[in-house]
Amino acid sequence: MLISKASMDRIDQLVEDAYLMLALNLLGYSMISSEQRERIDELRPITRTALWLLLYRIIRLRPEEGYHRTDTIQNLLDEAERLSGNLIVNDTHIHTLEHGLQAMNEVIENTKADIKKRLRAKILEANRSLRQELAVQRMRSLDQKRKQEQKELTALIAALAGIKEVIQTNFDSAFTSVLTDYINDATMDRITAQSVISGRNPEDAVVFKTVKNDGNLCQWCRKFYVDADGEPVLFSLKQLQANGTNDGKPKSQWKPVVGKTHPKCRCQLRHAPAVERFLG
Amino acid sequence: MKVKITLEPGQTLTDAEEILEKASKLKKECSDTERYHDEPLNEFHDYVCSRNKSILDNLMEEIEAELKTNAHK
Repeated sequence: MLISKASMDRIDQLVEDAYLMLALNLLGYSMISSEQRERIDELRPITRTALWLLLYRIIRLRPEEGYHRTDTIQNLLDEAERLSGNLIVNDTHIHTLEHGLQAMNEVIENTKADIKKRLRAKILEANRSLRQELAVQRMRSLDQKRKQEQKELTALIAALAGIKEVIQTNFDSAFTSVLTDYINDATMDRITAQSVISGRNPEDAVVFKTVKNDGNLCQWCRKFYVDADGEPVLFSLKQLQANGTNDGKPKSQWKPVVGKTHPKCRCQLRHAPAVERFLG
Repeated sequence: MKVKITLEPGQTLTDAEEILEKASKLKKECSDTERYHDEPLNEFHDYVCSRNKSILDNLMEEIEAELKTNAHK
C-alpha cells in the first residue's frame, strides 16, 4: 500500500486544523463546535465576529460619513477588536449578522469537505495504480518496486498543486457570493431604518445597484441594472424583494434581486433618497 | 449555434471578428477581477481570500510532508 488508512486520517486532521483557524479568525468562538473547542482551548482565541459587525457598520455609514479611505485592513481589524461587544444592533441586524456567519461557516465546511474528497480520490487512484502495476509484474525486483512506488508518490504530490488551484477558485467564488449577499442584506437593513426614520414606507424606498460598467460586466447585470444610456435602473425595494433569490434557478428565470444576481456577483444595492424626495 | 452578422458597407471580416469578440465578452459572467464599489469591502474580500490562500499553501506543504514521510508504511 502506498498511502495507508492511518495516513489518510492524519491528512483529514490536517485539513480540519487548518480550517479551524480560519473559522476562528472569521467567525469567532461561537461558531466552533464543542469538539473543536477542546482542540483549541489553549489558544485563547479572539473572536472576529466583530469583523463582520465592523463591515456592517461600514455598510451602514457611507464613506463620506465615517470611513477613511486611507484605512488599511489592519486598521479595520484593530477597530473590529475595539468594537467587539460595543456596537448596538437590533434584532434585524443580529439576524443579518447571524445569517452571514452561518453562510460563511457553510463555505468553510464545504471547502474542507471538497479538499478531503479530492485528496482521497487522488490517494485511492495512486494506491490502485501501484497495486495494478505490481500485480501485472509480480517478478519485479525489490529495487524496481521501490522505483514504481516513488513514481506513484511523485505523481500524487504533483497533483496537490492542481487540487490547491481548484479549491482556491471555488473558495473565492463561494465567499464572494456570501459576502455580496451579506453586503446587500445589511444595506437593505440600513435603507429600511432610514425610511422608518423619515416617515416613509420602507417597501417604497427607491433603490438601484452600483455596477462596474466595463467590458467585464456580465450580460445579466447589464440587462437588469443599467439602462440604454448607461444610467442605473431604479427599482422600489418592494420589487426586488418580491423577486426573491436567483439561487438554484436556471439563467432564463433570473431576475433583479436584493442579493447576488448570480455567483461571484459584486453589484451593490444602493438607496436613492434624493429620487424619493423628487417623486414626493 | 449559428450567429448572423450583418456588415455595413465598407466593413470587413476583421470588423466581424471584432463584433463577435465584443459580443462574447458581454456574455461572460462577472470576472474575478471585478471589484466592489466600496473599497473597504474589496479590502475585506481580498483579506479573506488571501488568508485562505495562505492556509492552503501551508496545508499542502504539510500534506506533502506527511505523504513523503509515511508512504509505504
